[in-house]
Amino acid sequence: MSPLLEIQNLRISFGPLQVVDGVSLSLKEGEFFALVGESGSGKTLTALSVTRLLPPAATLESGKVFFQKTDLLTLSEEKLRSFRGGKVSYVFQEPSTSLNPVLTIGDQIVEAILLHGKTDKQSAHKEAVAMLEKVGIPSASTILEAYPHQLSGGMKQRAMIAMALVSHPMLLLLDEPTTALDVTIQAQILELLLQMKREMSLTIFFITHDLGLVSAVADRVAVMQKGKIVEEGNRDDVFSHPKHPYTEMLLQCMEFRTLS
Amino acid sequence: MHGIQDALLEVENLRKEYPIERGLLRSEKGKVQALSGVSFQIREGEVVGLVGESGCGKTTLAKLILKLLLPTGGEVRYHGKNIFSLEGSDLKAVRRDIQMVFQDPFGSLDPRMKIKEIVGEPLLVHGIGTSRERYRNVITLLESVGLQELHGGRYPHEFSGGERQRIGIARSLALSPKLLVLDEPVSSLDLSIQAQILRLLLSLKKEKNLTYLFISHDLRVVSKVSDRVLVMYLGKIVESGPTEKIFSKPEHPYTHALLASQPQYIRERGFQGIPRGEIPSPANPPSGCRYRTRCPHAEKKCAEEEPLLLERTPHHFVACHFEL
Amino acid sequence: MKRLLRNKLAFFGFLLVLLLALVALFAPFLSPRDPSAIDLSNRLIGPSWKHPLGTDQLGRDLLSRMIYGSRISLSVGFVAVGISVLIGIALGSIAGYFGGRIDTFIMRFVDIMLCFPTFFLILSVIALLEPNIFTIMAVIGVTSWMGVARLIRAEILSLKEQEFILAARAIGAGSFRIIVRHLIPNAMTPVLVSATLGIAAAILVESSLSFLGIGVQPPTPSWGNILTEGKSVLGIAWWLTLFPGLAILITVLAYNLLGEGLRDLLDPRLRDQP
Repeated sequence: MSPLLEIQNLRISFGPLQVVDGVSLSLKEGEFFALVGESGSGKTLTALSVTRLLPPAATLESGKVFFQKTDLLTLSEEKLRSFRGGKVSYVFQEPSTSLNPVLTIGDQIVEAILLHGKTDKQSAHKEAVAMLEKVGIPSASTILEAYPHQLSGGMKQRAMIAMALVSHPMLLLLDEPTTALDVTIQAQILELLLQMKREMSLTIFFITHDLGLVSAVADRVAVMQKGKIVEEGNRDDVFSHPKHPYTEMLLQCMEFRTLS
Repeated sequence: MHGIQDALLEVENLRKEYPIERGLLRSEKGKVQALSGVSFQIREGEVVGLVGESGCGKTTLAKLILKLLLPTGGEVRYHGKNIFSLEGSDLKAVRRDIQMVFQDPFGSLDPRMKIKEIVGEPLLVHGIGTSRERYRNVITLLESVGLQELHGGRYPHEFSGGERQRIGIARSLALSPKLLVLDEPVSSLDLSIQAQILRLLLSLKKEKNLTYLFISHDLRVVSKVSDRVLVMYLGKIVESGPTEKIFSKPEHPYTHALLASQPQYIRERGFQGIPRGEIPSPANPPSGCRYRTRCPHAEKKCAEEEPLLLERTPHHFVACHFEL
Repeated sequence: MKRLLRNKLAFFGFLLVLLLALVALFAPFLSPRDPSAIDLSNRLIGPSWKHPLGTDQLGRDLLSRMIYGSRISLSVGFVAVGISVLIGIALGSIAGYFGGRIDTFIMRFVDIMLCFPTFFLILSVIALLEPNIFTIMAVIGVTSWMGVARLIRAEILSLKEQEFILAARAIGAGSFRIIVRHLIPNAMTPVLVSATLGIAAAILVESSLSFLGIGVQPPTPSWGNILTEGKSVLGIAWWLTLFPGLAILITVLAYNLLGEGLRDLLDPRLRDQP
């Protein structure tokens, strides 16, 4: 089966720095793929490059990004926009900055629905309620009228996930979605992601700095250091038989001094 | 209770409330209960770990211990004396003994001061030594955290996160304190740097005979450095005991939930142990046992009566009506 | 520096400001003649080789008077703004740091001061006192500190919560040290912009006062009082109005350009772009 997403030899520079240095990855349909790296490893730029969402200061030097059979990097801006939020959805780290503080949650989800589907406002509203319930937000119709600042971190992130899923994407990209959350809420969000993956047949591309975090949920893992992939493989293989010293070091940091 | 004479620091029934002000006239519309009666001791030479999630009050506790805040009630006793009733030179003396390492390596250093000025400032403020002696002191401090004399002439923005945290540690040691309160000292750092800083902290502790109160939301980090652990939830301590005990045989449902939420545990046992629902707001904590809204074992009694923190087995304290 | 060069207008303003400062500084060397040298045989001569900017009713060389006039303008600008910045920083930082009733009290005072139309306030005060350069500096300074106070207060309100301030308290630093050593140096950025623009404003005020006859008194040359003297002979000696007018215009423009340029330069959001 051909991969859903294939990144080939991606090279991105940020000013004088070569931040992504020849990265090649492929994601199979339906898998949970984790890209792990510390700050400055290039993982975020790699993820953003999938639909050319790079910041103005970053230069895409070379590489191909194939989504099914289309090279996204060569598409026109117009065609690319239909992918963004459509077949490929993003969830970012800080829900406080990704959500518009002056619009209600409902307005933002309905906007997302209307952008990518051909429905009217009424049906969009119903869909929004359904989606909020699906992601585990209680009293969804009340929450629709709420503003972002009235919700907790975990609730906001659930709302962000709902917004990303309304277009029924094939690929869901998440960049450090749980880093700002408390550990018990983080666990809830991970559970939600796995559940959504099952129910909506998603492929998940999960970016994080915490190797331990993905031990519970990933099918395959890739480790990035200074712009290059240093290790890649099935989760169990990487965790029990790491090949690269950097991976080993990250694994050691995961340890509890006393594990039962 | 342990022998009071042993305790370096004793916290008794510490409470801190913040009024919530609304409207033009800023009338009081309720109180945020940041800390609601916290009591514990720290003995000389220990590393006491403090874990908890948002709203548990750990940062408020740190600020109170350093008298950066005044409490609504309760005492913090250093060598038997209540720091909140000390003034003047007595207070200054205690200030020298209790210092803090801050969380944010980018915000905790004055961007307009040179490193040598930052690390030397405590000495300057307390009038210790001549200018030359202070400078020599600063060099020794920088070297003790793995930096060099030449770094003293530079500014904070010229250093990485890990290096800035080292500078913060050097500053906290300037007055030769006995007790260091570390508020999330490695949370903002990359994983590879975290290990280095933890090792540095442990070796400094041995070298200088320090006592640590190590605050973190990250259980892995706390497990690596602490002798004893205090688990906090919504302004109260729910469990405390030796590290191995807490991590291998936790007794409070919240401690169970914290451990069950760790990805490694999820990998082995799935999601069944993770708590449901949101963390309540400290402005409106649940009646009785504050954890009851998320506890799978909650019963009627839990809403009516607040459980006391009691010693179940030697040195192991739990605040729960039931035994699991 | 590099970014200043990029913003051409601001750089142009900077050069002008530098040029004016040099002219004022080296006035005795640059001035071709004694500005108060009366030469009744050469009254009201237009621009010529001997007198590049012409002469006034008393035969005094306009160019020399203009050069010395720049000293008045610049010194009033700097000293007046210096006074206002000092007052503004002091009151603004106390209000911002201590908060509560002190803050409310000081800010109400600021509001009251802002209610007065500044220029008329200055006029009233000068009318009561003796109009000389020192009173002018003092009065402008004492009536224009409010903007700086608000700016400093705003910066301090946000800086106060940062960890390095908490750290300073933790090591035992007192309020005075925290305000002076930690807060104010970090809050200076908007003050610099405000001060630069303030110099432009002060120069305008001085020129206006001198024009009205209640500023710098003749025979000391100020661009403003040269304008006054030129007013009565405008029909026959246009140079006595044009040149001082241009000078005021260019100087104020220069400081405004520099101030705006500094504002762009020091804007932290733009700082992150390579």
